[in-house]
Amino acid sequence: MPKRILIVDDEPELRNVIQLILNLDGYETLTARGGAECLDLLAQQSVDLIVLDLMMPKVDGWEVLRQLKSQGRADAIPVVLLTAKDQPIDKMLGLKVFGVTDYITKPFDKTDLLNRVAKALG
Amino acid sequence: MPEINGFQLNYYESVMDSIPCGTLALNSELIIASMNPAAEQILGLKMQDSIGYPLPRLLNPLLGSNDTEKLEAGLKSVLRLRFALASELGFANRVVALRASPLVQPQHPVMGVVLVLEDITERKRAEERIRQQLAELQRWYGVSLSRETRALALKGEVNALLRRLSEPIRYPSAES
Repeated sequence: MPKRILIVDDEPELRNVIQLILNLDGYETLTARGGAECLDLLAQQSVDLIVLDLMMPKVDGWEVLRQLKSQGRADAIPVVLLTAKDQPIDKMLGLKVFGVTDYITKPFDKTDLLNRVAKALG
Repeated sequence: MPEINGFQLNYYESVMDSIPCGTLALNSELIIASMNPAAEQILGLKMQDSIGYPLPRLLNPLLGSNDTEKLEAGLKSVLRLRFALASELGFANRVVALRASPLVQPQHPVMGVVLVLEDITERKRAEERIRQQLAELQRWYGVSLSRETRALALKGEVNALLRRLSEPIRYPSAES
């Protein structure tokens, strides 16, 4: 059974590209246009991994991580952050504070994304 | 930038934890990335409930929305203009001195803000006590000065009455 990945990004083109890359590699994908939609989807469906953008209007990626942490779901679902934020302090926040599985900075390489998604899925 | 390993991170965390001033590191969205026990004590916020949250959101119940908005605007200026900011926060009957500096890496955009907090409530109270004592001293000085002036005027009046009675004046010192 293919692993199900939730892609959360407010940029439609990027969302579509990531979806295409993951689908071609055999993953099942769901998409969310922002943090609120991501949290709604997670309340209804189970996923094996979240590919999450940080900078999104209204409910951003940090808020999604806070919600997952407060719901005690942060450890249950691996999260790969895919973001333009490349500062060490943000990597520290993501990896150490929120315990995300991986942190990829945009622009990303297709092979690198697939390798890291596969690694995150264990 | 070279990656920091676990050993280095523990080392830096130990240094942060030993600093007697409250120290917080915020990212560019003012989210708390790290804070030390002194900051926890000064702000009255638990570390596990604070790290990962935007500082303005946590301070809003303490400072009120007006002061929180001012602080947020100040911290954003530190990020934008790369200058250090000094201010004072008043909450829960305490006064806290705050210094905010840009968190920089050479030749890179500002990555966040470092906040240093110091509880100056006792110093402020001592200053207020000294101010009150000074005000009291000035009041007494004013009272004794006016008493002196009044006594001089009375002596002058007595001298004038004695003069009208063609008697010698009693207070030559009051004659100018």
